[in-house]
Amino acid sequence: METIPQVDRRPAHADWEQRGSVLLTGVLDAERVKAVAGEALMRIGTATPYERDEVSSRRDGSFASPVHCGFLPAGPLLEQLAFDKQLLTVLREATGMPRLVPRGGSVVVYRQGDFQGLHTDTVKATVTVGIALTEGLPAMWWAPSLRDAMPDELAKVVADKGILPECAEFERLEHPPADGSVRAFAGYSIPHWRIPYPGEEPGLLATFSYMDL
Amino acid sequence: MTLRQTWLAEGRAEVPADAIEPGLWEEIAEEAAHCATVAVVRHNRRPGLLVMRDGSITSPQRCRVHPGGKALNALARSKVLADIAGEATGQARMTPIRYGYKFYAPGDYMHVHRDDGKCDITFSCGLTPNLAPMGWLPRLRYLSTQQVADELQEEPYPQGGEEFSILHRVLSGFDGRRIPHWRTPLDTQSGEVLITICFSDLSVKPS
Repeated sequence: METIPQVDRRPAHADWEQRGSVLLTGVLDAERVKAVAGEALMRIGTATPYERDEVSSRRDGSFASPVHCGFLPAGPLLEQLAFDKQLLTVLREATGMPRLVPRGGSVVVYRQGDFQGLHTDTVKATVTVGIALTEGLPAMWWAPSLRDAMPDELAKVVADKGILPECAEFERLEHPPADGSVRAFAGYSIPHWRIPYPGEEPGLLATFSYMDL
Repeated sequence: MTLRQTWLAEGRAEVPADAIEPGLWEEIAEEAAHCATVAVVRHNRRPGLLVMRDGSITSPQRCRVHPGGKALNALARSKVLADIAGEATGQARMTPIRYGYKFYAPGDYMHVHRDDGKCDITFSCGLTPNLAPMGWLPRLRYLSTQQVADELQEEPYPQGGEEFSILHRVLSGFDGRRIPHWRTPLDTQSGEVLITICFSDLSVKPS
């Protein structure tokens, strides 16, 4: 794995710690993203149901609530992008984490009514990158104010506000334009959720996961 | 019992004594001797057990550490180790994420703790022959971190603990992120060297 040149990473890391998200403008070749979207559409029939009917507090500090959508393992083009060295280098610089390593990617398939309840990603998902492969995916909701909350605390939030809260104290993280820009966010630290998908055509969201050593 | 069965039942995974070539151990010993001269002091003085969100517990320890060089890297990346890690834990993409030499001088210690939540299996062995066994409490394996901390009540070396041998140049894996473990102060006159290698499964799956 290549390391980034010796530069002062503290400002980038402080920003990341404060915001929990960073927008990487035009980091990918837009045509390449289109090709990944084509690949995912071709393979959509192989998606497996991704459903959970429990709320669970996990020992790694992550939290999960009910989900109903589809899971599509990475195809070759998505896999290449998930391990792309240039993307990794930009992410390491933008987050100030030089020891970030890629874990891979997958596609989440949303059919009408599909959702992901409030959750935090595994401890191994220090950084999650989401790329909308179709138009019309609603913005992701997230709760930066609940950063690094213990799972039991999130269970109380869910008990109080439900698994898909849409209230003023939480925020929406809009998808960047489909020009090769991507957004990265702190998937383990910050609770996030996706409200029911309204579209008639399936919605596809590619996600890449990176772990800080 | 198979590796998988032993892991699930006991939280251990033995590495056969002949799994690693003797030549590599010689290179590692030579490298460690060099690293010892530039190792940095790790001395966490914060008293008590600190419960972390990732399921780990940090506590005081004193020793010197070095991340190693080519020889230790070769050991960490050896196929046999990844295979054992994968078979024991049932995971697909086991990757060494953290490893190094720990240099113990007389009196150096490691209070009871649980490893980082990213460590799916931790291998260790002695590079010197006189390391005392590791103390551990396998019966607390499945308690939450807070329950473990409550149960231990700030005791640095818990009463009623069990132990497993730290062998010279024979690695053994254990469930260090779940099972609380510790090293009592080194009571030999010699300095001793411990290797630790922790593996993490990097595969992406719905959870």
